[in-house]
Amino acid sequence: MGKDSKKHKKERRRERSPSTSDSDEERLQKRLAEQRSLKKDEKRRQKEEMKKNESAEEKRARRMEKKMRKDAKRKDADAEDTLIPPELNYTNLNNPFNDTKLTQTFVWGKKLEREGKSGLTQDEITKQTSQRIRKNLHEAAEFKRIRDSRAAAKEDMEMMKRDADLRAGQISDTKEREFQMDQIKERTRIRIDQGRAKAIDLLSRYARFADENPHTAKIPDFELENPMEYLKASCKSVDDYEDLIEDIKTYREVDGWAKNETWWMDVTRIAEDEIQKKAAQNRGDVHASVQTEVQNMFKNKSIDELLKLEDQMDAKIRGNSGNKGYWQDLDDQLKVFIARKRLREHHGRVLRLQLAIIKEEQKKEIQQQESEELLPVAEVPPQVKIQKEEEEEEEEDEDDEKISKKVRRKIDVQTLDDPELDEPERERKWRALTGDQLDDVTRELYRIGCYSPTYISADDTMPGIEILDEQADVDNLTERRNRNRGTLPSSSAASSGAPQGASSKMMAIAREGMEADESIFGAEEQLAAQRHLWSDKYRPRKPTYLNRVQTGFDWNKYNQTHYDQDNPPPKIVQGYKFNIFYPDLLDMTVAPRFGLTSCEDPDFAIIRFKAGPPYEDIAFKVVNREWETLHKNGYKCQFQNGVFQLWFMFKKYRYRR
Amino acid sequence: MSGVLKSDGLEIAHVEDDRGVQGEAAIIDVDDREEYFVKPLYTYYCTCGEMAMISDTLINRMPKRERDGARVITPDRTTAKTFAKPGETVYVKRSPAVGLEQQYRKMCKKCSIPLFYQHPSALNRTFILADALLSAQEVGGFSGNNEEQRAKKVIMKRNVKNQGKMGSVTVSTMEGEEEEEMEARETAESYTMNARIVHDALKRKGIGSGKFAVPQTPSSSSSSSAAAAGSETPSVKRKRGTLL
Repeated sequence: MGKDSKKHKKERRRERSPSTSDSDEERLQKRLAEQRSLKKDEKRRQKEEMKKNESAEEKRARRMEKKMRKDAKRKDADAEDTLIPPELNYTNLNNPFNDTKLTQTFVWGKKLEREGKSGLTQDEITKQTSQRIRKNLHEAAEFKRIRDSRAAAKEDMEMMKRDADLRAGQISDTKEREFQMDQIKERTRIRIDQGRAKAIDLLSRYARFADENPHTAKIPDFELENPMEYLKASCKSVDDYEDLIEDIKTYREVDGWAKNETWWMDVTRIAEDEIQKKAAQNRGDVHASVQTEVQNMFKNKSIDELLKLEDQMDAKIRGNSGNKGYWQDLDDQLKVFIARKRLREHHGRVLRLQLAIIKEEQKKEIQQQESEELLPVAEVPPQVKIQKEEEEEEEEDEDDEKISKKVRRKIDVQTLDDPELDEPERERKWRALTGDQLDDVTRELYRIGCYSPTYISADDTMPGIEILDEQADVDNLTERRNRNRGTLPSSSAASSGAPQGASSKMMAIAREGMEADESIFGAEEQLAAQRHLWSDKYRPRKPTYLNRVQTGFDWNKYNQTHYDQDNPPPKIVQGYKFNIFYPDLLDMTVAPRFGLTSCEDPDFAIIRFKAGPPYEDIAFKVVNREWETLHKNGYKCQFQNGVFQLWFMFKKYRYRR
Repeated sequence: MSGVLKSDGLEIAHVEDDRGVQGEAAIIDVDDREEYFVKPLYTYYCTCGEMAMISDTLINRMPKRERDGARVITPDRTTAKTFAKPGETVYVKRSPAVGLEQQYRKMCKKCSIPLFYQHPSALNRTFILADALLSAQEVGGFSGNNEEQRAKKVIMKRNVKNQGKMGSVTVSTMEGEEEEEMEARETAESYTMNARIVHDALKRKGIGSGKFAVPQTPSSSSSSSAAAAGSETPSVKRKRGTLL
């Protein structure tokens, strides 16, 4: 390489000399050439002297140094084309492959021959190889960039998807809640249609109607009743009221909390008051007589006055003046009173609106009829005036109950008995009627059917026949029925109150010979449901009874040792006396029977008495011990005069040591 | 007590007729469903407990007479059978402007209280005196056959199988229960039976080991009644609200 560069320099010099024609420059050139040749000769002389003087080791070091300098030069010249990474620090002399041409470009001779490129020089081969390698590296970098961008895009898509899923999850919760609210409304409608509505269903229907139709001329398809009637009819116990309060909260969530706020709060307060009443809690520090006076004070006052009174009471409670418990309790009662009064007034307003609508419709009908008769024009104005005056007078005097009667929906009787209507539909319509509606419908049916009998004049009857007075006849029948119902059986003789004649005789027979050691025994054992073939014809019932338990001391060895007459032992059951009354037994010739069965407690047994119709079986739980069955020991088993008597004592065991 | 069907809905095909290809036994399953409405019968009693009337209509749905509150049994819209013996003929004085009403009264077979009456002009109509009859619930007591049932829809399923020479027809009116539910219920019942048997066996062993215990002195009547009453288990607080 060095020789080639020297040749290059010489060629350049030769090229320059013919172009220069100046003599001065020629002289400078000659002098420079001479000086250069002199320096070279000196250097050559110095080298030869050093070579002569140096030792073998110095010679080896010099040569290594020279070679390394050459390698460094070559390395610098080929720095751009070097393929070995700089971290490896591999050189031609220092590499684990023992390859002295490591830094040179590999030449694949046979391939070049095959491709017809054997004429290329080393520089060209190196250049092509470098270009190919650079292109490959560039392509790899391009692929890496594409892969990274694709991964980043995928990650972005995943992030967006996750956000969308989160948002959708929140929406699904909301939709679930909305679905439940819709189902509540749907279930309410179904319960009302099927005639098994709850209090919350009726209240919500009333609230929705009163809210949606304040001035619309729409007649409701149900009977407008006072909301308090819904509460009384549906809610029977504390649990029902508590359920109602929760249901009201749920329904306000369905319809929106702001709708009918005052109305719902009033209903809730009344329900809470009913809960307190049924729980029989103490009403505070107010005496019972004062409560009546308080209620009278609240009456005959408008809602505004009551609200002012409430403010005054709140001020007194806050000011701690007087008896705080008294004012607190009074304030609670006042709130409930205001709620009830407000509900009543609201209902009155709704009814008056409905009445006005109905009257408008009636006026329209009258006008239509009058328009058909146009001839008597002169008579129309005075009639209208008279009607207006009458209506004004009626409106002032009417009460809420009268208004509700007028607003009451007229029932189409023909629809209920329509033969084309199928059975389920008819049954549903009948069941939807209230008590008053049912009464009206049945009276209308009687009138339509023309069931009234023909009446006879008093003159047409025979002279001596007995004529019953209407009221006297009714009274007589009622008395006989009550006497019949009075003899119905009760669960025990003690609760029968005033027994009748026959019962008193039976009672006397049963109580005969009662001693101080005996007490009335009335713990009846509950039997499973009994079914008899005759239960369709006769009303099954339980017989009445008067049973006694015989108690006394048991002077066994243990008790003789530890007790005496002054300090007696506890009494034990020594016997039973069952007296069961069967006054209405159909077949008096067959006596009742009894049987013993075991029960869970081995110390006790169940004795069961069985008789014929119309009496059901009756059972008692008795001590499980052996009976004495001899008459002289108190055993008695007889059925006489409608009284079944079973008396027995338990056996006593005595032994001698 | 359900009403009898007027039309014969059980047209059972002759199962031996082979409807398939001749020579080959064809298995044919025919599933048929028929819905009809069951109206229950209501039993009414006299105040003494004697059965007085069976009707397919509730008393409070019969036409009501304004004058005395009686109800009318009309043959065209009510089917009812009365159980009563003939009573006396009575002339009831209504208001002076109206006149006298002649009634043929019928009495209870047991206590002889008048329950029904008829008029000479229309013997096909029977009137029920007001407050004379009591329903099963009003009389009180328990009777499995007389609970006032609501009118309900009954689904009758008819399944016809025809397998050549053999065939079977299954008619079922079970209320909406399918075979799977029946099998599940039978399995549960068998489990219950096994549990009861095991319980009895354990109890028997317990009683056997009890022989060596010291026998207790029999207690008095008050303690026996107290033992019979037993202690009440504290009830778990129930969730409030019925809508959700």
